[in-house]
Amino acid sequence: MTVLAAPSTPAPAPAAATVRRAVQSRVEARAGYLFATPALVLIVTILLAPIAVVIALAFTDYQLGAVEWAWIGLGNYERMLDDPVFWRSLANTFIYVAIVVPGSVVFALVVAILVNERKKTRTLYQIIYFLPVTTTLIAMSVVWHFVLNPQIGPIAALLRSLGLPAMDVFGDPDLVLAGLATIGIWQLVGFNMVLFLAGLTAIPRDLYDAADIDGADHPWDRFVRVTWPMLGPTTVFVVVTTTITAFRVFDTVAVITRGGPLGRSEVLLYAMYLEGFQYFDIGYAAALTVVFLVTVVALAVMQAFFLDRKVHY
Amino acid sequence: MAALEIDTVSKSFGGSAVLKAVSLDVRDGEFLTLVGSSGCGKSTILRVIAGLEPQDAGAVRIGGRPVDHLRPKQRNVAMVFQSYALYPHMSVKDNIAMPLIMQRLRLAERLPLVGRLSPRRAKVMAEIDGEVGAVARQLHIEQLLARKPAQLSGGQRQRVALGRAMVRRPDVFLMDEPLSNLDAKLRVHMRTELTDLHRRLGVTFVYVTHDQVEAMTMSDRVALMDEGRIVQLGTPADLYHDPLDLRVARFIGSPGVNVLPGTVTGAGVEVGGAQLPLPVAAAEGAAVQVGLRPETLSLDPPAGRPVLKIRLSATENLGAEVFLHGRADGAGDSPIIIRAPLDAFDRARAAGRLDGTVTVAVDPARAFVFDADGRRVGRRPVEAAVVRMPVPAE
Amino acid sequence: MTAPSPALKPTAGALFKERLRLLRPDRIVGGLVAHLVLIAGALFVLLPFVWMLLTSVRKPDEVFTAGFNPIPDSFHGVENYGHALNQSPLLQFMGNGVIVCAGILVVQLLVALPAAYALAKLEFRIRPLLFVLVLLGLTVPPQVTALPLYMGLASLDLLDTYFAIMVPFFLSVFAIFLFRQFFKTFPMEIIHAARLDGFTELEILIRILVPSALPAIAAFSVFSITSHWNDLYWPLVVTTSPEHATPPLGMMIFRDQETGSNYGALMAGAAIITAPLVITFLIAQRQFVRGITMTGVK
Repeated sequence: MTVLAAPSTPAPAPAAATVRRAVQSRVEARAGYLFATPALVLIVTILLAPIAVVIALAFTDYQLGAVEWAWIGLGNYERMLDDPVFWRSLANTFIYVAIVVPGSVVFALVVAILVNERKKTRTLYQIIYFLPVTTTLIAMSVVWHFVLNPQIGPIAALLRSLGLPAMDVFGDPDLVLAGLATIGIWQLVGFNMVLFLAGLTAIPRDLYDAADIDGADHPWDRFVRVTWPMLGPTTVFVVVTTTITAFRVFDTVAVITRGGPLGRSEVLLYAMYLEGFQYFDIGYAAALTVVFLVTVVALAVMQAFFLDRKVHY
Repeated sequence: MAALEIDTVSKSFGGSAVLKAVSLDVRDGEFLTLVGSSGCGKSTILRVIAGLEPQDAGAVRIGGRPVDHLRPKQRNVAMVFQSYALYPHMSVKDNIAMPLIMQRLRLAERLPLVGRLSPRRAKVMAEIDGEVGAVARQLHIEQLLARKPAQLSGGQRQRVALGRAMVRRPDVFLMDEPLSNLDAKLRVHMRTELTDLHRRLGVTFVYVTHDQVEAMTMSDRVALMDEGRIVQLGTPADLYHDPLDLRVARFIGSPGVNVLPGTVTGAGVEVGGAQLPLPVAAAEGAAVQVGLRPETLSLDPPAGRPVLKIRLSATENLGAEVFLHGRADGAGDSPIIIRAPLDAFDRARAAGRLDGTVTVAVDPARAFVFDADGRRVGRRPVEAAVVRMPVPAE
Repeated sequence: MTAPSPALKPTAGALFKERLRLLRPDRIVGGLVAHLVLIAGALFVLLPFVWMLLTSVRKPDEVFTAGFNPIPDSFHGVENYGHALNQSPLLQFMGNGVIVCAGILVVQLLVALPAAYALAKLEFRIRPLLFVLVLLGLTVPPQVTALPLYMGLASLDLLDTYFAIMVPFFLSVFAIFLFRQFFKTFPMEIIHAARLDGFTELEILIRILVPSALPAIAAFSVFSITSHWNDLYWPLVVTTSPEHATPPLGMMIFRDQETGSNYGALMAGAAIITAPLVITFLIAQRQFVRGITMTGVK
């Protein structure tokens, strides 16, 4: 408290200012720590510590409730290499992502461009397409399951009336991922559309006017020379968030197919869930979690890289 | 190069008329400025000429040929936007080349990859490169060709926008407030550069601005617009010395024109006790508004000329000249500004004529008389043309 | 695309053709095609909703014969919805949803707002570290921490409680990041002025920054409530009894009770579970969309 010791002696102005700044910065720092503490405590207890524990658990053979456990080094990862369920889950997850990402991004882009040109019906379309985003996916999965039911669903009835064979989407090993991906696209398209619409409205009108005068007035030229490049950052963002969301597919699998038929809809998160919370094979589940985490972080890093380098202007 | 005719063009947006039967002839090679406050319709005219906005009625002709049915790219006009509207993802070179690529390559040749199959393409692209380079040299931006617009300063972007307009050798240049995004100093510089460019290219320029200084300093002729109509079209000197409407008198000139209430008498107009011997086309006793430019009020002894008594409230010394602020006695207490050369100010002060009030001499020949609706009713000054244009203050 | 320059004086017929083109028939056709595409997409999007509502008022035997006949023969809605509400404590599941969402949101805001202010405007030593942690946290999906948190809660005997369902989400690094970005744009001059006026840092936060951040807070609330009302993974992990089940969990429980028999009631249940958020969305459509845009485009 030496700083405040001699307020009566008139110190030279700059010194006084320094003192005041020092006091202020101390007040600020104290408030800073105080305000950051709850967040910091939570970051450590429910984020950092659990991640560290997961990484550590992945090197053990711990089973929930077991009294004895041992460090087994890379044992869980070796087991993973030989585990057909893991490979199937990984492959199915990637196939799912490979359908959902292009499907929902392209669909959303087309819808956004068309909706953006509407005046009176803009809000109506926006509401309709956005509706699935707000709904409880579990409940709607039950509905989709019913809609695509090969015996009593409307789609099957429609196909039958057209003389086509009814498809048992969720019972057919070759169709099940496509069926789940359809629901994935259905849920994501509105979200992506809203993001694209935000990107579209941010394109200055002047650019289209300039393009008109420069002769780029063919719809194709307008799209290729103005719209698409101007949407670059939005597109990267949409693709990456969609990829991460699709990568975390779980709800539809848990409700509709439970990994079946023949394991053709087993996905990474569902395998994690089964190993961890149904079989309580904690060590192995932790190793799966680490693989999952690394993949998602890699995607996020890719996004940061892309946004910084590729589409920067 | 071509003359431009705008023939009774009207345009409304959602029920509100933005252009009301506007007619305007722009001569071949002329620098014509549309000036007015925001919302007066000046930018809409530009967009109608460019074809970006179809008019509701009337016709536009470029070089005598109607262009109403033509798309913007077919009208051979170029436009420089206020925001420059450069394509942010393209290099400077590609930005400038854009109109030529669109003109000279067919749709299939513009496609990525597929386009390269065309044997013609390489030759056309080489030609375009050459022309872009030539334009860049004229504008001194050769060293910037590889950059993206975000890496350029405001002045450089302005040049790129000009380059994109020049490269297609348009019949008409349209400019929509091209200088308003530049800082004050650069704006003054670009004014001279644009007039220089106009002289070199010899092309018709239609220039839109809200800044009367730009209008006065750059144009061959100025059209002052208000509420969707052209109020007056004339040379800058015409608009300054011979405004036909109070709105014109007020808009042009800085500091602004003094407006005092007056009455029509048998001998002319009475304002603040001064009798101005002006033949006025109005009934005796009618109320009029008298416009007096600040520099037409003289601090020197009146020598028989009519005088106004002014109570002074503030003096601003700008070095070469002095602005005196005050209120005119007996003329409705209207605020008034006198713009006096420094020597006249010094003489008046030495003679003790600046003791809180001052008597100024009015030159009746340079007074404007407007009726209650703001229409000019007084005699037009004879010697307008010989009066030197004062340099507008920044 | 070099059009032949038109003759100086176009003929009357040509003029008429050009006038016609000013009406832009291509635009009208384009608009029509656009609507067709949009309507086709909208049918796909709306199909499950429509079928859910239609089936929820059908008689059980009609469900099996309806095919794609949209119009129910008779109105059986009262029975179906009544059955759904009686058979399963759907209202209790939704009550649980409200408790969980509200609890999570309140703690998230209480933690994130001060932290965001500290990150945006206060100077202290560990600030850069904290910000890096927040950015890292943004990339970690919640399923990663599920195992250890489950074990921890199990050892504390806290499984199957509201607390267990809420605790992993008390920290939203996303909220901290969002509010920090928002506060960052707040003019420092006003904060300086407030300090000179004798405001404490806490008062500055509560009385100046939080009111200014209301749009961001609203946007985040939409985001938070939507995601936790609909979340399945974590509630599925920690909840064993229907007593604390959240709506998605309740839907699964209800579905398992009804397997294969009463589709009308099942669809009624789905409609009930889905209704609160959908109705809120329809009322506050603008806020939802703005919320997604603000939280989506960072």
